[in-house]
Amino acid sequence: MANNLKFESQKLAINYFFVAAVLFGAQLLMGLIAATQFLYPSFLFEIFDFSVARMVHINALVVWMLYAMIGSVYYLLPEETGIETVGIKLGKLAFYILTAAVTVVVLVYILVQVGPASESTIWLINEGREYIEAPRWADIGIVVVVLVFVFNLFATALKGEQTGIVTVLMADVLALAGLYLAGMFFTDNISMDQYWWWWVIHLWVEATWEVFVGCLLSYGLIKIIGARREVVEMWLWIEVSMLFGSGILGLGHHYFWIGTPEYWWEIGALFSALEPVPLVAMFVHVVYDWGKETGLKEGQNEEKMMTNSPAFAWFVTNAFGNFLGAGVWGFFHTLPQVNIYTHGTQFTSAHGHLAFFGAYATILIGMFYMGLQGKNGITKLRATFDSKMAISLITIGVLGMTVSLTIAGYGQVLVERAQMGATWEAYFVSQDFVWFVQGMGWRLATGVLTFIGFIFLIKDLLTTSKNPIHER
Amino acid sequence: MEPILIVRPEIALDDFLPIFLASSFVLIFGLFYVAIYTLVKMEKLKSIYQPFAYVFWVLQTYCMYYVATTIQSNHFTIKALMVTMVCYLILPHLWYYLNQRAEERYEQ
Repeated sequence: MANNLKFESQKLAINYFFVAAVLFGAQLLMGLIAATQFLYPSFLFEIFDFSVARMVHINALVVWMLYAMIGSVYYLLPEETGIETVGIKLGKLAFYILTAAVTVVVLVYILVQVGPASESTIWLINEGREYIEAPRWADIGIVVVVLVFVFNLFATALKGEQTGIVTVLMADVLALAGLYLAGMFFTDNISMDQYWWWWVIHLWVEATWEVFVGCLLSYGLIKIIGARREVVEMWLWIEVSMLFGSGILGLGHHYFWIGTPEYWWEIGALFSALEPVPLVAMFVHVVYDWGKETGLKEGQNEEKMMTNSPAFAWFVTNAFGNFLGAGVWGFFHTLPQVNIYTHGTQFTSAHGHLAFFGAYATILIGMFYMGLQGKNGITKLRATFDSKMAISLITIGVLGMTVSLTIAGYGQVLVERAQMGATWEAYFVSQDFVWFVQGMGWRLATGVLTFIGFIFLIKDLLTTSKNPIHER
Repeated sequence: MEPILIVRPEIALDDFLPIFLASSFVLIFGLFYVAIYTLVKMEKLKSIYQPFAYVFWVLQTYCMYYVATTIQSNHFTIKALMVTMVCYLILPHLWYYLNQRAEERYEQ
Protein backbone atom coordinates (compact mmCIF):
# COMPACT_ATOMS: atom_id res chain seq x y z
CA MET A 1 0.00 0.00 0.00
CA ALA A 2 1.39 3.42 -0.96
CA ASN A 3 2.65 5.64 1.79
CA ASN A 4 2.91 9.33 0.94
CA LEU A 5 4.11 10.43 4.36
CA LYS A 6 7.58 11.93 4.32
CA PHE A 7 8.18 12.00 8.07
CA GLU A 8 9.05 8.81 9.96
CA SER A 9 7.10 10.23 12.89
CA GLN A 10 3.90 10.27 10.83
CA LYS A 11 4.53 6.72 9.61
CA LEU A 12 4.84 5.67 13.25
CA ALA A 13 1.58 7.50 13.97
CA ILE A 14 -0.21 5.30 11.41
CA ASN A 15 1.02 2.21 13.31
CA TYR A 16 -0.42 3.67 16.52
CA PHE A 17 -3.74 4.40 14.79
CA PHE A 18 -3.86 0.84 13.45
CA VAL A 19 -3.45 -0.76 16.89
CA ALA A 20 -5.90 1.77 18.35
CA ALA A 21 -8.56 0.71 15.82
CA VAL A 22 -7.99 -2.99 16.66
CA LEU A 23 -8.32 -2.29 20.38
CA PHE A 24 -11.44 -0.21 19.70
CA GLY A 25 -12.97 -3.31 18.08
CA ALA A 26 -11.91 -5.44 21.06
CA GLN A 27 -13.52 -2.93 23.40
CA LEU A 28 -16.83 -3.13 21.53
CA LEU A 29 -16.78 -6.96 21.43
CA MET A 30 -16.15 -7.19 25.16
CA GLY A 31 -18.90 -4.64 25.75
CA LEU A 32 -21.33 -6.82 23.80
CA ILE A 33 -20.35 -9.89 25.85
CA ALA A 34 -20.82 -7.99 29.13
CA ALA A 35 -24.14 -6.50 27.97
CA THR A 36 -25.38 -9.99 27.03
CA GLN A 37 -24.33 -11.38 30.42
CA PHE A 38 -26.39 -8.68 32.16
CA LEU A 39 -29.50 -10.13 30.51
CA TYR A 40 -28.49 -13.80 30.30
CA PRO A 41 -26.17 -14.54 33.24
CA SER A 42 -25.58 -18.10 32.01
CA PHE A 43 -23.99 -16.80 28.78
CA LEU A 44 -20.39 -18.15 28.72
CA PHE A 45 -20.82 -19.23 32.35
CA GLU A 46 -17.56 -20.58 33.84
CA ILE A 47 -15.82 -19.88 30.52
CA PHE A 48 -15.63 -16.13 30.49
CA ASP A 49 -16.43 -14.16 33.65
CA PHE A 50 -18.47 -10.95 33.51
CA SER A 51 -15.79 -9.25 35.58
CA VAL A 52 -13.18 -10.09 32.93
CA ALA A 53 -15.37 -8.94 30.03
CA ARG A 54 -16.06 -5.67 31.85
CA MET A 55 -12.40 -5.21 32.75
CA VAL A 56 -11.14 -5.78 29.20
CA HIS A 57 -13.96 -3.54 27.88
CA ILE A 58 -12.82 -0.65 30.07
CA ASN A 59 -9.07 -1.21 29.78
CA ALA A 60 -9.25 -1.57 26.00
CA LEU A 61 -11.07 1.77 25.96
CA VAL A 62 -8.36 3.52 27.98
CA VAL A 63 -5.53 1.87 26.04
CA TRP A 64 -6.94 2.47 22.52
CA MET A 65 -7.44 6.11 23.39
CA LEU A 66 -3.90 6.42 24.72
CA TYR A 67 -2.60 4.73 21.56
CA ALA A 68 -4.61 7.13 19.37
CA MET A 69 -3.46 10.10 21.45
CA ILE A 70 0.23 9.15 21.17
CA GLY A 71 -0.32 8.53 17.43
CA SER A 72 -1.97 11.93 17.04
CA VAL A 73 0.99 13.69 18.64
CA TYR A 74 3.49 11.80 16.48
CA TYR A 75 1.35 12.79 13.47
CA LEU A 76 1.04 16.52 14.12
CA LEU A 77 4.49 17.03 15.67
CA PRO A 78 6.58 17.26 12.45
CA GLU A 79 4.03 19.59 10.84
CA GLU A 80 3.90 21.87 13.85
CA THR A 81 7.62 21.93 14.63
CA GLY A 82 8.83 21.69 11.03
CA ILE A 83 11.34 18.93 11.83
CA GLU A 84 11.44 15.15 12.13
CA THR A 85 10.68 13.92 15.65
CA VAL A 86 13.85 13.62 17.72
CA GLY A 87 14.45 10.09 19.02
CA ILE A 88 12.12 8.51 16.48
CA LYS A 89 14.03 5.18 16.57
CA LEU A 90 13.48 5.02 20.31
CA GLY A 91 9.83 5.86 19.68
CA LYS A 92 9.49 2.95 17.24
CA LEU A 93 11.13 0.55 19.69
CA ALA A 94 8.75 1.77 22.41
CA PHE A 95 5.78 1.16 20.10
CA TYR A 96 6.70 -2.48 19.48
CA ILE A 97 7.46 -3.10 23.17
CA LEU A 98 4.14 -1.52 24.21
CA THR A 99 2.17 -3.49 21.62
CA ALA A 100 3.81 -6.77 22.65
CA ALA A 101 3.10 -5.97 26.31
CA VAL A 102 -0.55 -5.05 25.67
CA THR A 103 -1.02 -8.29 23.69
CA VAL A 104 0.44 -10.41 26.50
CA VAL A 105 -1.64 -8.59 29.15
CA VAL A 106 -4.90 -9.01 27.20
CA LEU A 107 -4.18 -12.71 26.55
CA VAL A 108 -3.51 -13.23 30.26
CA TYR A 109 -6.75 -11.45 31.14
CA ILE A 110 -8.72 -13.64 28.74
CA LEU A 111 -6.98 -17.00 29.24
CA VAL A 112 -5.88 -16.94 32.88
CA GLN A 113 -8.50 -14.53 34.29
CA VAL A 114 -7.89 -15.05 38.04
CA GLY A 115 -4.93 -15.83 40.29
CA PRO A 116 -4.31 -16.83 43.91
CA ALA A 117 -4.73 -13.20 45.11
CA SER A 118 -1.13 -13.13 46.33
CA GLU A 119 1.82 -10.93 45.40
CA SER A 120 2.28 -13.00 42.21
CA THR A 121 -1.24 -12.11 41.03
CA ILE A 122 -0.51 -8.42 41.35
CA TRP A 123 2.75 -8.80 39.46
CA LEU A 124 1.62 -11.19 36.74
CA ILE A 125 -2.16 -11.09 36.25
CA ASN A 126 -4.07 -8.08 37.54
CA GLU A 127 -3.23 -5.20 39.83
CA GLY A 128 -6.91 -4.72 40.69
CA ARG A 129 -7.08 -0.98 40.11
CA GLU A 130 -10.22 -0.23 38.13
CA TYR A 131 -9.58 1.24 34.66
CA ILE A 132 -5.82 0.66 35.01
CA GLU A 133 -5.68 -3.01 35.94
CA ALA A 134 -2.41 -3.81 34.16
CA PRO A 135 -0.18 -6.19 36.18
CA ARG A 136 2.74 -4.55 37.96
CA TRP A 137 5.36 -5.53 35.33
CA ALA A 138 3.28 -3.94 32.57
CA ASP A 139 2.51 -0.98 34.77
CA ILE A 140 6.21 -0.19 35.11
CA GLY A 141 6.71 -0.87 31.38
CA ILE A 142 3.94 1.62 30.49
CA VAL A 143 5.71 4.30 32.53
CA VAL A 144 8.97 3.68 30.66
CA VAL A 145 7.25 3.78 27.25
CA VAL A 146 5.36 6.96 28.11
CA LEU A 147 8.58 8.58 29.34
CA VAL A 148 10.16 7.84 25.95
CA PHE A 149 7.15 9.51 24.31
CA VAL A 150 7.38 12.55 26.59
CA PHE A 151 11.11 12.80 25.94
CA ASN A 152 10.57 12.67 22.16
CA LEU A 153 7.90 15.38 22.34
CA PHE A 154 10.02 17.70 24.49
CA ALA A 155 13.24 17.14 22.56
CA THR A 156 11.47 17.81 19.24
CA ALA A 157 9.60 20.87 20.50
CA LEU A 158 12.76 22.39 22.00
CA LYS A 159 14.72 21.83 18.78
CA GLY A 160 12.02 22.85 16.29
CA GLU A 161 9.45 25.61 16.13
CA GLN A 162 7.29 25.99 19.24
CA THR A 163 3.75 26.79 18.25
CA GLY A 164 1.02 27.39 20.82
CA ILE A 165 -0.42 23.93 20.17
CA VAL A 166 2.92 22.22 20.81
CA THR A 167 3.58 24.30 23.95
CA VAL A 168 0.19 23.37 25.42
CA LEU A 169 0.81 19.75 24.48
CA MET A 170 4.15 19.78 26.30
CA ALA A 171 2.53 20.91 29.55
CA ASP A 172 -0.43 18.61 29.08
CA VAL A 173 1.51 15.44 28.29
CA LEU A 174 3.80 16.00 31.27
CA ALA A 175 0.74 16.18 33.53
CA LEU A 176 -0.83 13.17 31.79
CA ALA A 177 2.29 11.05 32.30
CA GLY A 178 2.89 12.28 35.85
CA LEU A 179 -0.66 11.59 37.02
CA TYR A 180 -0.34 7.92 36.08
CA LEU A 181 2.16 7.52 38.91
CA ALA A 182 -0.57 8.34 41.45
CA GLY A 183 -2.30 5.04 40.57
CA MET A 184 0.80 2.90 40.94
CA PHE A 185 1.23 2.58 44.70
CA PHE A 186 -0.86 1.07 47.47
CA THR A 187 -1.73 2.36 50.91
CA ASP A 188 -3.30 0.23 53.66
CA ASN A 189 -6.10 2.75 54.16
CA ILE A 190 -8.64 2.23 51.36
CA SER A 191 -9.90 5.83 51.60
CA MET A 192 -6.41 7.19 51.02
CA ASP A 193 -5.88 4.60 48.34
CA GLN A 194 -9.03 5.65 46.48
CA TYR A 195 -8.11 9.32 46.91
CA TRP A 196 -4.89 8.81 44.99
CA TRP A 197 -6.38 6.43 42.46
CA TRP A 198 -8.98 9.05 41.56
CA TRP A 199 -6.25 11.46 40.59
CA VAL A 200 -5.34 9.25 37.66
CA ILE A 201 -8.69 8.68 36.03
CA HIS A 202 -10.53 11.80 37.06
CA LEU A 203 -7.78 14.28 36.30
CA TRP A 204 -6.90 12.41 33.15
CA VAL A 205 -10.36 12.69 31.70
CA GLU A 206 -11.49 16.00 33.13
CA ALA A 207 -8.27 17.97 32.82
CA THR A 208 -5.44 16.54 30.75
CA TRP A 209 -7.52 14.67 28.16
CA GLU A 210 -9.84 17.64 27.70
CA VAL A 211 -6.88 19.94 27.05
CA PHE A 212 -5.48 17.31 24.71
CA VAL A 213 -8.77 17.34 22.78
CA GLY A 214 -8.50 21.15 22.59
CA CYS A 215 -5.05 20.76 20.96
CA LEU A 216 -6.29 18.21 18.42
CA LEU A 217 -9.34 20.31 17.61
CA SER A 218 -7.13 23.36 17.08
CA TYR A 219 -4.79 21.43 14.78
CA GLY A 220 -7.75 19.90 12.92
CA LEU A 221 -9.52 23.23 12.40
CA ILE A 222 -6.36 24.82 10.99
CA LYS A 223 -5.78 21.90 8.62
CA ILE A 224 -9.35 21.20 7.55
CA ILE A 225 -11.04 24.59 7.25
CA GLY A 226 -8.03 26.91 7.40
CA ALA A 227 -8.95 28.51 10.72
CA ARG A 228 -6.67 31.37 11.81
CA ARG A 229 -3.97 30.07 14.13
CA GLU A 230 -4.02 33.17 16.40
CA VAL A 231 -7.73 32.75 17.10
CA VAL A 232 -7.54 29.02 17.71
CA GLU A 233 -4.48 29.25 19.95
CA MET A 234 -5.95 32.11 22.00
CA TRP A 235 -8.94 29.91 22.78
CA LEU A 236 -6.68 27.01 23.54
CA TRP A 237 -4.95 28.97 26.30
CA ILE A 238 -8.29 30.10 27.75
CA GLU A 239 -9.47 26.50 27.75
CA VAL A 240 -6.29 25.37 29.45
CA SER A 241 -6.72 27.79 32.34
CA MET A 242 -10.43 27.07 32.72
CA LEU A 243 -10.14 23.31 32.39
CA PHE A 244 -7.26 22.96 34.81
CA GLY A 245 -9.06 25.20 37.32
CA SER A 246 -12.45 23.54 37.09
CA GLY A 247 -10.98 20.07 36.59
CA ILE A 248 -8.76 20.07 39.66
CA LEU A 249 -11.18 21.75 42.07
CA GLY A 250 -14.17 19.96 40.53
CA LEU A 251 -12.47 16.75 41.67
CA GLY A 252 -13.87 17.66 45.10
CA HIS A 253 -17.28 16.36 44.06
CA HIS A 254 -15.92 12.84 44.59
CA TYR A 255 -14.21 13.56 47.88
CA PHE A 256 -17.29 13.33 50.05
CA TRP A 257 -17.23 9.56 49.49
CA ILE A 258 -13.85 9.14 51.12
CA GLY A 259 -14.08 11.10 54.33
CA THR A 260 -12.44 14.40 53.36
CA PRO A 261 -13.65 17.57 55.15
CA GLU A 262 -17.17 18.71 54.35
CA TYR A 263 -16.13 21.98 52.66
CA TRP A 264 -15.13 19.84 49.66
CA TRP A 265 -18.85 19.31 49.05
CA GLU A 266 -19.27 22.98 48.25
CA ILE A 267 -15.96 23.51 46.43
CA GLY A 268 -16.43 20.35 44.39
CA ALA A 269 -20.07 21.12 43.58
CA LEU A 270 -19.38 24.68 42.51
CA PHE A 271 -16.37 23.92 40.34
CA SER A 272 -17.81 20.79 38.79
CA ALA A 273 -20.80 22.97 37.86
CA LEU A 274 -18.31 25.23 36.05
CA GLU A 275 -16.72 22.33 34.17
CA PRO A 276 -19.06 22.50 31.17
CA VAL A 277 -18.36 26.23 30.67
CA PRO A 278 -15.13 25.72 28.68
CA LEU A 279 -16.89 23.03 26.67
CA VAL A 280 -19.65 25.47 25.75
CA ALA A 281 -16.99 28.09 24.97
CA MET A 282 -15.23 25.60 22.71
CA PHE A 283 -18.49 24.87 20.92
CA VAL A 284 -19.28 28.57 20.48
CA HIS A 285 -15.89 29.41 19.06
CA VAL A 286 -16.04 26.53 16.58
CA VAL A 287 -19.45 27.68 15.33
CA TYR A 288 -18.45 31.35 15.29
CA ASP A 289 -15.12 30.83 13.53
CA TRP A 290 -16.56 28.43 10.99
CA GLY A 291 -19.45 30.79 10.16
CA LYS A 292 -17.10 33.74 9.89
CA GLU A 293 -14.49 31.98 7.77
CA THR A 294 -17.04 30.61 5.31
CA GLY A 295 -18.76 34.01 5.17
CA LEU A 296 -15.46 35.68 4.27
CA LYS A 297 -14.72 33.09 1.59
CA GLU A 298 -18.19 33.49 0.09
CA GLY A 299 -17.76 37.28 0.10
CA GLN A 300 -14.53 36.97 -1.84
CA ASN A 301 -16.12 34.45 -4.25
CA GLU A 302 -13.67 31.83 -3.09
CA GLU A 303 -14.43 28.17 -2.61
CA LYS A 304 -14.95 27.18 1.01
CA MET A 305 -11.99 25.27 2.35
CA MET A 306 -12.81 21.71 3.41
CA THR A 307 -10.01 19.24 2.97
CA ASN A 308 -11.35 16.32 4.98
CA SER A 309 -15.12 15.97 5.30
CA PRO A 310 -15.26 12.76 7.39
CA ALA A 311 -12.72 14.14 9.91
CA PHE A 312 -14.65 17.41 10.13
CA ALA A 313 -17.90 15.51 10.68
CA TRP A 314 -16.28 13.62 13.58
CA PHE A 315 -14.88 16.91 14.97
CA VAL A 316 -18.35 18.49 14.89
CA THR A 317 -19.75 15.39 16.61
CA ASN A 318 -17.05 15.97 19.21
CA ALA A 319 -18.33 19.48 19.97
CA PHE A 320 -21.88 18.17 20.49
CA GLY A 321 -20.84 14.94 22.18
CA ASN A 322 -18.51 16.71 24.58
CA PHE A 323 -21.28 19.06 25.63
CA LEU A 324 -23.92 16.33 25.94
CA GLY A 325 -21.83 13.53 27.44
CA ALA A 326 -19.39 15.35 29.68
CA GLY A 327 -21.64 18.40 30.19
CA VAL A 328 -25.32 17.48 30.45
CA TRP A 329 -24.96 13.84 31.49
CA GLY A 330 -22.15 14.76 33.87
CA PHE A 331 -23.82 17.71 35.50
CA PHE A 332 -27.14 16.09 36.21
CA HIS A 333 -25.63 13.62 38.59
CA THR A 334 -22.42 15.25 39.70
CA LEU A 335 -23.63 17.40 42.60
CA PRO A 336 -22.81 15.51 45.82
CA GLN A 337 -26.37 15.77 47.12
CA VAL A 338 -27.56 13.89 44.03
CA ASN A 339 -24.48 11.74 43.51
CA ILE A 340 -24.94 10.14 46.92
CA TYR A 341 -27.95 8.38 45.33
CA THR A 342 -26.67 7.91 41.78
CA HIS A 343 -23.03 6.88 42.34
CA GLY A 344 -22.26 3.43 40.96
CA THR A 345 -25.66 2.98 39.33
CA GLN A 346 -26.23 2.78 35.59
CA PHE A 347 -26.37 6.60 35.64
CA THR A 348 -22.59 6.58 36.00
CA SER A 349 -22.40 4.12 33.14
CA ALA A 350 -24.67 6.28 30.93
CA HIS A 351 -22.50 9.33 31.60
CA GLY A 352 -19.32 7.31 31.02
CA HIS A 353 -20.48 5.94 27.67
CA LEU A 354 -21.53 9.28 26.20
CA ALA A 355 -18.70 11.31 27.71
CA PHE A 356 -15.91 8.97 26.55
CA PHE A 357 -17.50 8.71 23.13
CA GLY A 358 -18.48 12.35 22.73
CA ALA A 359 -15.39 13.95 24.17
CA TYR A 360 -12.66 11.53 23.08
CA ALA A 361 -13.61 8.71 20.68
CA THR A 362 -15.07 11.16 18.14
CA ILE A 363 -12.00 13.37 17.90
CA LEU A 364 -9.62 10.41 17.82
CA ILE A 365 -11.58 8.79 14.97
CA GLY A 366 -11.32 12.21 13.27
CA MET A 367 -7.54 11.92 13.69
CA PHE A 368 -7.64 8.42 12.08
CA TYR A 369 -9.08 10.14 9.00
CA MET A 370 -6.39 12.85 9.13
CA GLY A 371 -3.74 10.12 9.16
CA LEU A 372 -5.48 8.28 6.34
CA GLN A 373 -5.54 11.44 4.24
CA GLY A 374 -1.82 12.04 4.72
CA LYS A 375 -0.88 8.41 4.14
CA ASN A 376 -2.73 8.21 0.83
CA GLY A 377 -1.71 11.66 -0.39
CA ILE A 378 -5.32 12.86 -0.70
CA THR A 379 -5.90 16.62 -1.01
CA LYS A 380 -9.67 16.42 -0.52
CA LEU A 381 -11.01 13.47 1.43
CA ARG A 382 -14.74 13.24 0.76
CA ALA A 383 -17.52 11.59 2.75
CA THR A 384 -18.46 8.16 1.39
CA PHE A 385 -21.51 5.98 1.98
CA ASP A 386 -19.47 3.91 4.44
CA SER A 387 -18.17 6.94 6.34
CA LYS A 388 -21.71 8.36 6.63
CA MET A 389 -23.07 5.00 7.80
CA ALA A 390 -20.21 4.69 10.30
CA ILE A 391 -20.74 8.08 11.94
CA SER A 392 -24.56 7.74 11.90
CA LEU A 393 -24.74 4.21 13.30
CA ILE A 394 -22.03 4.67 15.91
CA THR A 395 -23.51 7.98 17.11
CA ILE A 396 -27.12 6.71 17.18
CA GLY A 397 -25.92 3.50 18.84
CA VAL A 398 -24.02 5.30 21.62
CA LEU A 399 -26.87 7.79 22.17
CA GLY A 400 -29.28 4.84 22.36
CA MET A 401 -27.07 3.06 24.89
CA THR A 402 -26.86 6.25 26.94
CA VAL A 403 -30.61 6.78 27.06
CA SER A 404 -31.23 3.09 27.88
CA LEU A 405 -28.69 3.15 30.69
CA THR A 406 -30.15 6.42 32.01
CA ILE A 407 -33.60 4.84 32.26
CA ALA A 408 -32.14 1.74 33.92
CA GLY A 409 -30.18 3.99 36.29
CA TYR A 410 -33.23 6.04 37.16
CA GLY A 411 -35.04 2.86 38.16
CA GLN A 412 -32.04 1.88 40.26
CA VAL A 413 -31.87 5.28 41.99
CA LEU A 414 -35.54 5.16 42.97
CA VAL A 415 -35.81 1.53 44.01
CA GLU A 416 -32.32 0.56 45.13
CA ARG A 417 -31.18 3.81 46.73
CA ALA A 418 -34.10 6.08 47.65
CA GLN A 419 -36.85 3.60 48.54
CA MET A 420 -34.91 0.64 49.90
CA GLY A 421 -31.89 2.49 51.30
CA ALA A 422 -28.95 0.92 49.43
CA THR A 423 -29.04 -2.48 51.09
CA TRP A 424 -27.82 -5.75 49.61
CA GLU A 425 -31.42 -6.85 49.08
CA ALA A 426 -32.25 -3.50 47.47
CA TYR A 427 -29.59 -4.10 44.85
CA PHE A 428 -31.11 -7.42 43.77
CA VAL A 429 -34.67 -6.09 43.81
CA SER A 430 -33.66 -3.25 41.50
CA GLN A 431 -31.91 -5.72 39.15
CA ASP A 432 -35.31 -7.29 38.46
CA PHE A 433 -37.10 -3.96 38.16
CA VAL A 434 -38.85 -3.77 34.80
CA TRP A 435 -37.25 -0.42 33.84
CA PHE A 436 -33.86 -1.83 34.60
CA VAL A 437 -34.31 -5.04 32.59
CA GLN A 438 -35.83 -3.26 29.60
CA GLY A 439 -33.12 -0.60 29.73
CA MET A 440 -30.48 -3.33 29.61
CA GLY A 441 -32.26 -4.93 26.65
CA TRP A 442 -32.21 -1.71 24.69
CA ARG A 443 -28.59 -1.17 25.66
CA LEU A 444 -27.67 -4.51 24.07
CA ALA A 445 -29.68 -3.74 20.91
CA THR A 446 -28.11 -0.31 20.46
CA GLY A 447 -24.72 -1.81 21.30
CA VAL A 448 -25.10 -4.14 18.33
CA LEU A 449 -25.96 -1.09 16.20
CA THR A 450 -22.73 0.58 17.36
CA PHE A 451 -20.76 -2.51 16.37
CA ILE A 452 -22.29 -2.51 12.89
CA GLY A 453 -21.25 1.15 12.61
CA PHE A 454 -17.73 0.13 13.62
CA ILE A 455 -17.62 -2.43 10.79
CA PHE A 456 -18.58 0.34 8.32
CA LEU A 457 -15.84 2.52 9.81
CA ILE A 458 -13.19 -0.16 9.34
CA LYS A 459 -14.44 -0.88 5.81
CA ASP A 460 -14.18 2.83 4.98
CA LEU A 461 -10.70 3.13 6.45
CA LEU A 462 -9.49 0.07 4.54
CA THR A 463 -10.97 1.07 1.16
CA THR A 464 -10.04 4.77 1.14
CA SER A 465 -6.70 4.20 -0.59
CA LYS A 466 -8.42 2.80 -3.71
CA ASN A 467 -11.57 4.93 -3.69
CA PRO A 468 -11.65 7.21 -6.79
CA ILE A 469 -14.12 9.63 -5.12
CA HIS A 470 -11.28 11.39 -3.30
CA GLU A 471 -9.24 14.20 -4.91
CA ARG A 472 -5.52 13.53 -5.15
CA MET B 1 -13.29 11.30 70.82
CA GLU B 2 -16.51 13.06 69.78
CA PRO B 3 -18.33 11.13 67.07
CA ILE B 4 -18.55 13.10 63.84
CA LEU B 5 -22.13 13.55 62.71
CA ILE B 6 -22.71 14.34 59.07
CA VAL B 7 -26.34 15.01 58.23
CA ARG B 8 -27.15 13.60 54.82
CA PRO B 9 -29.75 15.63 52.92
CA GLU B 10 -32.78 13.49 52.17
CA ILE B 11 -34.31 14.16 48.78
CA ALA B 12 -38.02 13.46 48.42
CA LEU B 13 -38.79 10.61 46.00
CA ASP B 14 -40.89 12.92 43.84
CA ASP B 15 -37.99 15.36 43.49
CA PHE B 16 -35.56 13.05 41.71
CA LEU B 17 -36.98 13.42 38.22
CA PRO B 18 -37.39 17.25 38.45
CA ILE B 19 -33.78 17.48 39.70
CA PHE B 20 -32.43 15.47 36.77
CA LEU B 21 -34.51 17.43 34.27
CA ALA B 22 -33.79 20.87 35.76
CA SER B 23 -30.04 20.24 35.96
CA SER B 24 -30.05 19.18 32.28
CA PHE B 25 -31.98 22.31 31.38
CA VAL B 26 -29.34 24.44 33.12
CA LEU B 27 -26.93 23.42 30.39
CA ILE B 28 -29.40 23.22 27.51
CA PHE B 29 -30.86 26.69 28.18
CA GLY B 30 -27.32 27.97 28.69
CA LEU B 31 -26.41 26.59 25.28
CA PHE B 32 -29.43 28.28 23.68
CA TYR B 33 -28.45 31.57 25.34
CA VAL B 34 -24.92 31.62 23.89
CA ALA B 35 -26.03 30.09 20.58
CA ILE B 36 -28.68 32.76 19.91
CA TYR B 37 -26.35 35.51 21.10
CA THR B 38 -23.59 34.21 18.81
CA LEU B 39 -25.87 33.85 15.78
CA VAL B 40 -27.07 37.43 16.26
CA LYS B 41 -23.45 38.64 16.47
CA MET B 42 -22.64 36.64 13.34
CA GLU B 43 -25.62 38.36 11.69
CA LYS B 44 -27.15 34.97 10.87
CA LEU B 45 -30.15 36.02 12.98
CA LYS B 46 -31.78 39.45 13.11
CA SER B 47 -31.09 41.47 16.25
CA ILE B 48 -34.80 41.30 17.04
CA TYR B 49 -34.13 37.76 18.32
CA GLN B 50 -31.59 38.97 20.88
CA PRO B 51 -34.16 39.18 23.74
CA PHE B 52 -34.83 35.45 23.32
CA ALA B 53 -31.21 34.84 24.32
CA TYR B 54 -31.87 36.66 27.60
CA VAL B 55 -35.11 34.71 28.11
CA PHE B 56 -33.07 31.51 27.95
CA TRP B 57 -30.56 32.95 30.42
CA VAL B 58 -33.41 33.73 32.84
CA LEU B 59 -34.79 30.19 32.43
CA GLN B 60 -31.33 28.76 32.98
CA THR B 61 -30.80 30.81 36.13
CA TYR B 62 -34.19 29.77 37.47
CA CYS B 63 -33.36 26.08 36.83
CA MET B 64 -30.02 26.51 38.59
CA TYR B 65 -31.75 28.09 41.59
CA TYR B 66 -34.40 25.35 41.58
CA VAL B 67 -31.79 22.59 41.56
CA ALA B 68 -29.75 24.28 44.28
CA THR B 69 -32.75 24.60 46.60
CA THR B 70 -34.20 21.15 45.85
CA ILE B 71 -30.97 19.39 46.66
CA GLN B 72 -30.76 21.45 49.85
CA SER B 73 -27.50 23.27 49.12
CA ASN B 74 -26.39 25.63 51.84
CA HIS B 75 -26.89 29.38 51.48
CA PHE B 76 -23.30 30.10 50.58
CA THR B 77 -23.40 27.64 47.67
CA ILE B 78 -26.67 29.07 46.36
CA LYS B 79 -25.20 32.60 46.44
CA ALA B 80 -22.02 31.42 44.73
CA LEU B 81 -24.05 29.69 42.01
CA MET B 82 -26.10 32.84 41.41
CA VAL B 83 -22.92 34.92 41.11
CA THR B 84 -21.70 32.34 38.59
CA MET B 85 -24.87 32.83 36.57
CA VAL B 86 -24.32 36.61 36.50
CA CYS B 87 -20.77 35.99 35.27
CA TYR B 88 -22.20 33.70 32.60
CA LEU B 89 -24.51 36.52 31.50
CA ILE B 90 -21.59 38.93 31.17
CA LEU B 91 -19.02 36.56 29.63
CA PRO B 92 -20.26 36.45 25.98
CA HIS B 93 -20.69 40.26 25.99
CA LEU B 94 -17.15 40.69 27.23
CA TRP B 95 -15.77 38.24 24.71
CA TYR B 96 -17.45 39.81 21.68
CA TYR B 97 -16.54 43.31 22.91
CA LEU B 98 -12.85 42.36 23.17
CA ASN B 99 -13.02 40.52 19.86
CA GLN B 100 -14.55 43.52 18.12
CA ARG B 101 -12.01 45.93 19.59
CA ALA B 102 -9.15 43.62 18.59
CA GLU B 103 -10.43 43.41 15.03
CA GLU B 104 -10.82 47.19 14.81
CA ARG B 105 -7.21 47.62 15.91
CA TYR B 106 -6.10 44.89 13.52
CA GLU B 107 -7.82 46.55 10.57
CA GLN B 108 -6.29 49.94 11.41
